[in-house]
Amino acid sequence: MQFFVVYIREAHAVDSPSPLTLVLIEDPTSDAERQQVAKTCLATLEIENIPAVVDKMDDAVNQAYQGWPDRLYLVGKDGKLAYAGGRGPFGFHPEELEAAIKAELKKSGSDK
Amino acid sequence: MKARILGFLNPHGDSDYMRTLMICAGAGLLLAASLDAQRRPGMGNRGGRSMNDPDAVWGLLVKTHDKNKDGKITAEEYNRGEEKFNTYDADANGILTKSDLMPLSRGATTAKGVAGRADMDGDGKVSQDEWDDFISETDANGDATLSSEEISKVFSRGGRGQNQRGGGRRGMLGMFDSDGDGEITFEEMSALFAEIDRNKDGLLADRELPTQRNRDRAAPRRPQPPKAGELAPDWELPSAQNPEEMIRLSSFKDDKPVALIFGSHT
Repeated sequence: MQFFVVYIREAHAVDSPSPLTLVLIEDPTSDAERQQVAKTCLATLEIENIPAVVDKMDDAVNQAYQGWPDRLYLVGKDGKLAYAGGRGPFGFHPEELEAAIKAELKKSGSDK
Repeated sequence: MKARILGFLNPHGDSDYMRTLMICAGAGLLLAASLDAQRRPGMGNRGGRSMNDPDAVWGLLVKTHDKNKDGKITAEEYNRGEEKFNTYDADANGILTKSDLMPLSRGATTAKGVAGRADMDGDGKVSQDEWDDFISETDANGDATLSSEEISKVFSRGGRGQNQRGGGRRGMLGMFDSDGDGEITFEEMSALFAEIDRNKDGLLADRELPTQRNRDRAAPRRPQPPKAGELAPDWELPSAQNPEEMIRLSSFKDDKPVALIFGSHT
């Protein structure tokens, strides 16, 4: 079983259309800047041990998955989506992902 | 109105002139009052026909068309054409009952007016999933409730934050806030979906959505997210832990399932 945090465009950067001030971040303007922000995020949330990838500034992966502001997916071993969550916050249901993971692992008969 | 009429009064107090003026003023006031009553908020819009008095209209329909007096009007009993029948048949079940004439609540009427914007894949229907996504988008600050600012940005006609007739911003919040606690929750918006979905088929479609003309004025189509069963869009992105290393999603095919958690720090 493989997990990835896909770090995407900020949901509420202070210079964005929907700014919040809980976490003060200016919208990254370069790949390197976003990578830095992602690293800080993982460290602050103490999830550095979860593998993460960082979307490029073209937001291509975010667009392909409509991942903003947050969203959960499960890709099956066959490369097809076994689970496609709704858009957060209302559609963000980790328990659904958990159930999908269990089902997927059961299907393949392994616990990998 | 009264001040304007008084302004026209003949200063010499010619009684015939004044009497005529008073009659005109009275008629004008009556006309304004009746027009106002027809536009009174709270009378929902049931798919194009505005029903001031559903009881009276139903009474007329039953008297005219309910041949077997069973309280329902079938398409056969109604002999004034399919198109007219359909405009009455709000739940699209092929039978007219009084419930077809009952207007939607004010909140549902307003929500229905912009429901076309939730049609992400442009198929002319709004599913529960599309509605949920639409509500999540409306929740700009992601705090799982909708504020009056968030509501009026999305739900007012034209999307320019115009105040809905009959109550302004507070009115709009009041329209959606069914338990009156000052907060609009996801559940309250879901309930509106259920109310607009009169034929209870889980979709907002046909007469449950604004006319095509209004739909065309809605927000432009947005790309739709991939669905379960579809091929996961492949990607190759740098690892956060080690930016020199590129990771490709398809490298896990036939090896392991991959859970993707999209998000950011803010």
